[in-house]
Amino acid sequence: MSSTVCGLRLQLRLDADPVLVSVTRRFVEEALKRFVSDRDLVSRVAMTAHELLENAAKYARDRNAELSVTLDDNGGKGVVTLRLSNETTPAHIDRLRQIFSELDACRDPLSLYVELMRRNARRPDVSGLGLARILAEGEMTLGLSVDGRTATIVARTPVRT
Amino acid sequence: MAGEKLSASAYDFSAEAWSEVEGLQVKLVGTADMSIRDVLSEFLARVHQRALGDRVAEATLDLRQLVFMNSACLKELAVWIGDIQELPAADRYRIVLHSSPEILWQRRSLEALARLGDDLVTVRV
Repeated sequence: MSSTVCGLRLQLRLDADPVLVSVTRRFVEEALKRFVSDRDLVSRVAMTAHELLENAAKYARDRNAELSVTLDDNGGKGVVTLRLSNETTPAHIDRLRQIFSELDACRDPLSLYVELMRRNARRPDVSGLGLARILAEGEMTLGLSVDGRTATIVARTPVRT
Repeated sequence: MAGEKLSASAYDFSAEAWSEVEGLQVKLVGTADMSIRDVLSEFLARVHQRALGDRVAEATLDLRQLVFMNSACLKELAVWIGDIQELPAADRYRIVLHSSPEILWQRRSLEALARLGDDLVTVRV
């Protein structure tokens, strides 16, 4: 059972420095705790924020990124939405499209996540697990939109009551 | 079983490993994120070599004070599991992942690692 107060609006415009990612995750976690009592939800959202920000730290142009975290009332049910936008390279946008193509086709997020762990374990150049983790562990829906060189990843999860 | 204690640290992350009669004990503390991935990778490689040298049957990885682990560091655990799986059956050892029920990300992350490791990896809460 969780109690929900809708109305959280976090908008962070930041230099996605690797050493600030965990700091920002803890900030998101502490902020959301003020609005929902579901500890599991808070943990999943914090993990999602972390993985999105690490993507920005690795791939964003000049490491500039915008992260928003909102808690809205959607027809009487709460929804948490995380949105990360940053400019990046065409090569990374192509790679994001490939990853999303695989994620969109997946029917069993945990199996895909484990398969990617196995597949990427021998690839020292990439982790390649962050978005699959968000899908499997975070129990989020994921979407990608691209406008020029700006990629926006949106992750959503309902607030269980 | 002998050998000095293995250790590594960076930022607010620290890792230690030591030999006991029951097997190799490994403890991770703090936050494992992208800043410490290389540190963890190198540490786990040393842990694996110690486990092989000691011919242990089991390594226990104590995560009860590990506040967070990112996907890149989870991948390093997957690499370790893969290294064990590639050994001849007689040389393999088991990994016990000792988790905290209070640290909520651990349940799902360790479930995935246990599935990856099949019968080589178990989770203890």
